[in-house]
Amino acid sequence: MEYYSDLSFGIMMVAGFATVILFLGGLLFQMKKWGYGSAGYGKEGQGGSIGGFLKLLLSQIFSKKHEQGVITTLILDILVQRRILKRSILRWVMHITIFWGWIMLFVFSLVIFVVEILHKYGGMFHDTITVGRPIVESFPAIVMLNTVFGYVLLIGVLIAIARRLFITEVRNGTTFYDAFLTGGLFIIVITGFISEGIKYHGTEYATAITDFWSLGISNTAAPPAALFHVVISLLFCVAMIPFTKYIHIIATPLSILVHGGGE
Amino acid sequence: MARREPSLTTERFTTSQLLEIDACTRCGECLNWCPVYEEIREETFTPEGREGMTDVQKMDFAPKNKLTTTREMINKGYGLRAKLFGPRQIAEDDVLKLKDEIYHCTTCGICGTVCEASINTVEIWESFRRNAVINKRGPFGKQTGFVDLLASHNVFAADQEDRLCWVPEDIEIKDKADVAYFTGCTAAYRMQRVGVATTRVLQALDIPFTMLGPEEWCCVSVLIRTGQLELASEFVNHNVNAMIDKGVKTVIYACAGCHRTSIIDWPKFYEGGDELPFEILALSEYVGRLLDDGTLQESDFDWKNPLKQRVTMHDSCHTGRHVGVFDPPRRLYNMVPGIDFVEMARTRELQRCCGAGGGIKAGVSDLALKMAQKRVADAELVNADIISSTCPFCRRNIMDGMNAMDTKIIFKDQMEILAEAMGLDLTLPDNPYIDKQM
Repeated sequence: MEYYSDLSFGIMMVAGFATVILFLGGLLFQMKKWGYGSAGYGKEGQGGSIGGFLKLLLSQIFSKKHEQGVITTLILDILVQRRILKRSILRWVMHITIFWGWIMLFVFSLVIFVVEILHKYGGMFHDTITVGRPIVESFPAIVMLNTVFGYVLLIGVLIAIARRLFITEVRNGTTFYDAFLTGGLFIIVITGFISEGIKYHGTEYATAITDFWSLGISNTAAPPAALFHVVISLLFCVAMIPFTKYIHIIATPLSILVHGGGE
Repeated sequence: MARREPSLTTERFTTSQLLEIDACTRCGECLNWCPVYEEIREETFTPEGREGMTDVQKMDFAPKNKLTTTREMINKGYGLRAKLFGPRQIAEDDVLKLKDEIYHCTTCGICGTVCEASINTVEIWESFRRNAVINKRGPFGKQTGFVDLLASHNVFAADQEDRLCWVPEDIEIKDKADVAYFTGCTAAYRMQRVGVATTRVLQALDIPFTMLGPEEWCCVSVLIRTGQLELASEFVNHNVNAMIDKGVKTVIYACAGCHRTSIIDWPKFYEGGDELPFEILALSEYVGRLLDDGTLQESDFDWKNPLKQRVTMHDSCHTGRHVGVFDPPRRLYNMVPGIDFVEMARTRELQRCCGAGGGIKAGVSDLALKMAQKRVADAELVNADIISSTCPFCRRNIMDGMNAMDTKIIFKDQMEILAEAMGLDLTLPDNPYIDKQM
């Protein structure tokens, strides 16, 4: 964000906080909706109680009736997604690449954000960070991993798009909503690569690959390009989760945990 | 001005179910397995009033789309916009359309088995159905007749005093025993041969047992599957208390529908605690346990008639996929001398539903018949002579399917196969229901 100047930093902070507020607010609202259900079969609804929902959720997740432990479910059924693997290898590759690509890019972004804050206000990392360049470039391992997981995510998104285009039944079942959200994810990934390409275009760090992604745009356009990518990423990939089909990112793992996982 | 009510309320849905409805990733795996959607997609069956559907419209009968539409309707009543400006009204015709789609389901549960999000779809469909009945939108077609029939405490409106009229005189039914055989309405009145075979096998194996007789009321599967729960609590508690009076510790079942309902649904209605005061087992499970603990030896089965036929097993959705009993019945089949036991392409947890369950046999009988024929075709592919199962309701529907086809395959219940191989007499005593046997 050093890269974007102080103005960009301000915009990023506003976008960041707006994202967190929207995400948490939306999540609370969803939990309230789930809290309208009853605590058990045939019982009265709980009137939208978030506390009631959470209490029940925890009791079901840690139920002694489950055949396997929560940690096993977490690893095998959520992180490795073996239920999908059992049904379709192609869909598993698609989903696991989107899942891990998304998660890791989010984690790296968060790490760099924390480093930025600690550097700016905590006086830390002065020996590591080169002033005047994007902070992330002072951490080559993260730069490399960002690129790797960017491609991982791109593979998943391309498979998702290809399925919806070329498999008749998937295409027939595609709604505008599906197309909008898949397309949105595609735009985010692509703008990530393009903004990276623009950043290096015409510099000593440029490669054939970054030049390809730059679309020939001068690196003077790098700050607004990067800002556009980051802001839509925050809004689309985080803030919108509770309000869209993406809610399954939260609801699906919880559903699997509630039922104790297993193949 | 009074605030409007949501068009589709969350009534009868649990918090977990509302969460699960949001958990659907729309991956579409259920489309590959749903037996109802398969018939509609292939146009071997068209729901009434839905003629000329496009491929996209046919998907409305697939589990994925039912969940999506349910979610959209609930969100219109409870979403952010609804909280700010009041629930968005949904045309009643649209809610009824979804209701019809959800009633076009055998509650076989295959969609839940293959669901990547682990959604317990059967429970969601049944909650929706209950919601529909409460709001006077359900049930579907002839399913409304179940409640009236059960005024007699069985689904055939038969005389409850005749509940044991089929039991041969030489069968000893204990007044009290650790083990009770829950017959079920179908074996008691319409498939008495299954009941006779079961009691004969139990007696031949020296297993003392009791039965409830006139105090055995319907298990209420038909009510629970169709959302008509008004009588459920009374029936469940009556049956449980009758078992307690008999000193029963284990209840065994040769009917998959009764078995599933007792083990999964009865505890929801039982007023004496969270768990039933006795154990519930499929008959094959119970016999398997006796073999395992040495109470029974394989030599106790006094085989007299080797079968010499190719038998395939149809796993019922209820005892199979819902309860998870797959190996015990196979163990018994494989003990029968001479049997050529063969598996169909789809078995165990991925078994193909015969089409009888979920109120479909009564509500959408054409659909049930088409699905049964598909199951018979599965058996033909493995050149089976006999399709066997542990479910009288599957038996009835598959036999209907056979009658509608040109097939040489016959159906026999597992208990009939065991009893015949053991040389036991399956003659029915004279009783008022002889001419009503299926």
